[in-house]
Amino acid sequence: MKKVAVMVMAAFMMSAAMPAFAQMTKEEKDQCLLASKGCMGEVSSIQQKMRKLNAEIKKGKKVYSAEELKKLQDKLKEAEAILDKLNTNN
Amino acid sequence: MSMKKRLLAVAAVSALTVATAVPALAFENEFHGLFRVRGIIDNFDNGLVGKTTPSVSSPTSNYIEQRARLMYIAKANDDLKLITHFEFDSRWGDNSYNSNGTTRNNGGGIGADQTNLETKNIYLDFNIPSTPLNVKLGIQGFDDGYKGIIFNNDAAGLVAKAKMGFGSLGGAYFRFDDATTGSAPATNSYLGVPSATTVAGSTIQNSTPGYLTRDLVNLNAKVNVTKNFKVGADYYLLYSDVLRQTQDRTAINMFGVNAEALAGPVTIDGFVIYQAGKLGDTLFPGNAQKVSSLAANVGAKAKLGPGTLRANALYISGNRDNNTSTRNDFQTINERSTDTPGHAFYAGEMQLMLRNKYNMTSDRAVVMDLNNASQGLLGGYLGYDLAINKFFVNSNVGFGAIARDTTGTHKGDYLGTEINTEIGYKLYDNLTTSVQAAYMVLGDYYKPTSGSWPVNPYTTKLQVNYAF
Repeated sequence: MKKVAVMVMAAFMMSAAMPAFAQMTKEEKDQCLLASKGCMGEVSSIQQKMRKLNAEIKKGKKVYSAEELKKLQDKLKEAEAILDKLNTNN
Repeated sequence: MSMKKRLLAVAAVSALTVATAVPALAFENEFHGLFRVRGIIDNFDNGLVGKTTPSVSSPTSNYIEQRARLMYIAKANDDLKLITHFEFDSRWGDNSYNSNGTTRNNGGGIGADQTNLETKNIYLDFNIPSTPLNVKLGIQGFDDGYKGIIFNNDAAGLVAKAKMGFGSLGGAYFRFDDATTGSAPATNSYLGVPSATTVAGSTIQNSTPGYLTRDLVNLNAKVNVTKNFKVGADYYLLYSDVLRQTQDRTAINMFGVNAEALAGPVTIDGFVIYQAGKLGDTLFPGNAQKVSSLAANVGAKAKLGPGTLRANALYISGNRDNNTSTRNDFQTINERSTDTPGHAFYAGEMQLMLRNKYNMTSDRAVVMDLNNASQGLLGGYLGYDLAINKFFVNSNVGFGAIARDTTGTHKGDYLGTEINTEIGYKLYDNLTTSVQAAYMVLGDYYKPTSGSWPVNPYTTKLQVNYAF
């Protein structure tokens, strides 16, 4: 039973510690503080999002199903509409 | 360790894994926004909104205005999200502390600290499970499918669209006005039709919400005939009984067809809209005017050399005499205040003749409302967009004439020719700076019977634009 408890505790500690490991960079310098890169909770700008979507769409049917490609294309149209909405007077 | 204990351990570890994975299922937060500053020197704009009538006396204005927009999207999953969009506008030096009695479009005066938050959009966007139906519910922008000439603005409503094998089916409902007791800013402004028919000052007596309203209804279908050829059909109803205490109701039916075809490097699109119905008017208290009017457009875009060539032609029908029982001028949708259109034709890419897509608090044009005081419009617009590395140049030439001379007093129908350009540089992926300039040579429409011609309008702008 002791072994079970140790395993459970270890699993819990590891699972709880994982996000912290994931945030660490290979470099010792904190790039978030230094250059506002790789920060926790970093979100894509609308241009980055469009670029990522375009890159995934280019992978085509080798990677994505037709349905998934359609979904990515719809998301690209949505991102373009957001940028248009932000920029255009209404 | 016995099998039972191993199973227990595996179960416990699995439970913990699931428990720690829960945050990954939480909301996705999307933040987007815009910040734009424009320094303007021109002779046709005074930092306000409305039609500009070229005049002999056209003093030079110089001012700087800014706009910030913030958009937050709370995305529960791909099928459900809340979109919120806010705006802050001001002209440098205009006012602070709400001390001029106004709030929005202010706050650039010394001290700043102005209550100037505007809510553009708040709506829910969701898919109905096990159906192809998407619904947008709340205060939102709308794409009318006709390059914005019917309705291109924000309003409260419901938009539904179902993706079908052949294309899509959709519908929309917007409540533009729900009028309670008060003085109408101008009589026909509540009808949503052009100020040319305005007789200002009627008073509305009503304490029952929903009794006096202006609404827009749309039904639409899109068919993908082939991969490169799409056709759409729409029915719109603009209905207003806001002023039924003093005049007949307005009910304008619009029947539209639009199409887009891709032929090699060329994309061609266009539309035709026919309006029929009745228009409430104080001139005809118990008997509305009949409406029979038309709008049409053809556009093309093609890769040409290192850039892209654009072309658009627009026809908005006009009317000879507004005092007769039938109206042939295309009835455009306006906001409540007169001469503030709820529509636009940004595809022309004009800076003086028509409203420009970059306009902010200062939003003026020679043809502000496409109804153009019942005179309509015949416009031709050509443009060329060129991008070389981080530099870009967008140049346009536009030709405009009225479709009908309502008064019959002008020397000609030709409004003028506009040439404009925007030369820009991308400092970053999402930060651009540009110089814009436009000049309009006035046509015979403005030719004086005697004396001097009005001064040709011009504008020059320096713009910094950050969108993220």
